[in-house]
Amino acid sequence: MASVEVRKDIHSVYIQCVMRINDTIKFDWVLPESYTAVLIKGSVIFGVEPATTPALGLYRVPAGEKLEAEATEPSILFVPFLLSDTAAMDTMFTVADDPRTASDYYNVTDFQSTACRVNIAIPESTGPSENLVLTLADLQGIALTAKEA
Amino acid sequence: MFTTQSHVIIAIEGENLDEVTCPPFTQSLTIQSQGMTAFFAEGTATIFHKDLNGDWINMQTEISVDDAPRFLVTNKNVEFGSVVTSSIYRSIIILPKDRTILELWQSGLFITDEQLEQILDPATRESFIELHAYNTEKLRNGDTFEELPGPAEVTNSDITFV
Repeated sequence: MASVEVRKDIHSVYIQCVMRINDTIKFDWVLPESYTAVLIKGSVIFGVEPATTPALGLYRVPAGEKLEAEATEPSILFVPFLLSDTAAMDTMFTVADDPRTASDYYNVTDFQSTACRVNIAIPESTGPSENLVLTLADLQGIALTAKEA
Repeated sequence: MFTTQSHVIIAIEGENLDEVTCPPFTQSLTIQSQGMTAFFAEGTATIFHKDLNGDWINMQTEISVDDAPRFLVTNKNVEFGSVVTSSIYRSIIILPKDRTILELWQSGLFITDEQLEQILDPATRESFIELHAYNTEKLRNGDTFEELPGPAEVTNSDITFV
């Protein structure tokens, strides 16, 4: 099944979707402004696009529309939002899970040398393919878990 | 390097052994006074950073960051380089469309004043603007990061904009 994580740094929050072949994912919410999904690995069919988009690919999710993607090979989708994008933040998160009131980074568990902080390797999805509809409640639950980690 | 509605994204793709993964202007990338976020999406690489003596240090001796996928947050004032050790390598670096932050990176990423204003212009929000596209063949020693003789060329990128 597809796995979804929420990541954060000092300026942005990122929804990261790791997908198996034939997984589909749908963000079950809309935003007042368009945003971008970045395909950083694999290939997917976005929405009603007629063709497969290979990595590295960018897809504009129009304002008022839901992001939908079907993986045609193991893929990673990555969707960034600025913390300063008040409309998007207020739409997607509640007070409890709001990344704007969290620590600077999520899921950064190692801190070694003077060079960088890294998380553990991102797990590949396992199990059968599925059609995942990610609701706002799902997203907020994932964000809350990350915030409290 | 291209823009989205809210970010500037630097995509780095490498192929074949011993090919340096960074474009010519950032073969060694010095992190500015603010850290940098990256997604190491696909492949394997040997990653180096330069120590206070100016020597390249293979980070694999310190921490395993060589296998994708992985989320990275670098510290400030560190210079990085990497050598691809898989048939393909793909990572992206993410910067916000924020004047203060972009000005810190402007010279290091060869962003002109005109491009900076274009990036920050609200009128360009809905445009994917490709700022730079380089294709280079540079060789580095996979153990020491020493530069090896090899050709270099500049061509267009291979990014799909939908």
